[in-house]
Amino acid sequence: MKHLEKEIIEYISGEMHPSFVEKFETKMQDDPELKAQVSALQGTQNHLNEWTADEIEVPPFENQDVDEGPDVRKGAAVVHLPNWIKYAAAAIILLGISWLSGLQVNRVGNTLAFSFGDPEVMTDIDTKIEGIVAKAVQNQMKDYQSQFTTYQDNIDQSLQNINTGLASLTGQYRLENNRLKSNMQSESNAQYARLEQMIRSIENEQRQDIEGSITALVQYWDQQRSTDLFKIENAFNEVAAAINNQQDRTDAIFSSLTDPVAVTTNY
Amino acid sequence: MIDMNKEINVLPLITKIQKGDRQALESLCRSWYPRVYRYALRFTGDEEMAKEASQLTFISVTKGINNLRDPSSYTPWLFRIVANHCRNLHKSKRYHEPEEVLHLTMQTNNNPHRQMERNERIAQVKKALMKIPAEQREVIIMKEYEGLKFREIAAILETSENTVKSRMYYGLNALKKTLTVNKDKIYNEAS
Repeated sequence: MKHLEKEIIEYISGEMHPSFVEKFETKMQDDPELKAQVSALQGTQNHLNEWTADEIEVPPFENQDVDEGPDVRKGAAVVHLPNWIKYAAAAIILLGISWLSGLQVNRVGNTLAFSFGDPEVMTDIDTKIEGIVAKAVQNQMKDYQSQFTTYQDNIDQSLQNINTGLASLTGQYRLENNRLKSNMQSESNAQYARLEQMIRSIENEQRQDIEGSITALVQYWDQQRSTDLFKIENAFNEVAAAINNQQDRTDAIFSSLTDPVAVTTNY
Repeated sequence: MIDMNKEINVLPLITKIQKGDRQALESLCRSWYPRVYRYALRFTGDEEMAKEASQLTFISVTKGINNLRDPSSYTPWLFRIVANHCRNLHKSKRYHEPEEVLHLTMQTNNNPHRQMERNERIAQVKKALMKIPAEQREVIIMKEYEGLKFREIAAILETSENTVKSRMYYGLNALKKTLTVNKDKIYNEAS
């Protein structure tokens, strides 16, 4: 039987576990074919239920005056012995009765002759023996029936225990399954939270690193700029000094131009 | 849902019966007779056979109740007996489809036409039930009419719950087909 068929029959019979009903109804909403199938079977159920108990005329109860018979267990569970056992039992009983009643087998010529003890005494003995044997056989049969009933009861009880055990195990399995699912969900949520925390932490660290790098870069750039400016200033100063020096020398040359002696001396 | 022991409180009765109270036995049988008869009629589809199955059931109950160790298991035990008798009788005697629609109790209904339609629908149900396999029929009767749970039916039939559900599923589908065909036939005849 397919799982879906089982679900359908449990649903329409009202024996689906309440926790699965909503899920199954959602499944039906998503699957029009399934919905139609369920609806058709519910229709069949409704049709069946039109044949109510009130529609059946029950004849009057006739008291069954049953004599106390042999115990019969579970209706049709009557003990049926194989034929060979019945024949063997009958043969043994006959042989036993014959032996106890003094049956003698004599060979006369080519034929066998049977003879018994005192007929009158033997008849009485025979009757008694037959009674005893019949009673013993009857008692034995009752014992067998009783044993058979006991064995069948034990088997029934065992089957019932197994069914109960299975039902219990199924329940435990479902509970455990649900618990595991719930745990997995919690664990998954916790892991997700931890992961998120780690990502945030890494982001912060990286941000700090980048900010540090930028600060360092800015500092370096500032420093570098200062150094360069200093160098430029120095160069500028040197150039200015050189210009001044040249100016001084130029001035000196122009001065010497007014003083011919000085000019002659210098050239 | 039908209460498993709604007919009568069986537990004290069984205790009395097991102590030899014949009157208690008669009360028990009389109380459960209608339910047993209805089950048998729905299963066999034949009033005489249903009557015979009911009688055989209560003979078995009379003979076997002293060996019933757990009185609370009376209902499943009784249903196991009646189900067995019905199955055996139905196997041994051929089912004759009734010529008349169905012998039904006349319900008080102001609308005779509606009553006739209802009788027709019930007759269809009866015929359809007789067309499905016995093992599916008994599960459907126990579930739909007797209100037993799958677990209880499985215990009565000495099989697994899955088997019972499977028989129910295929039985209902077979009934659906038969009833739909009959419905179409009626509509066609009417038109």
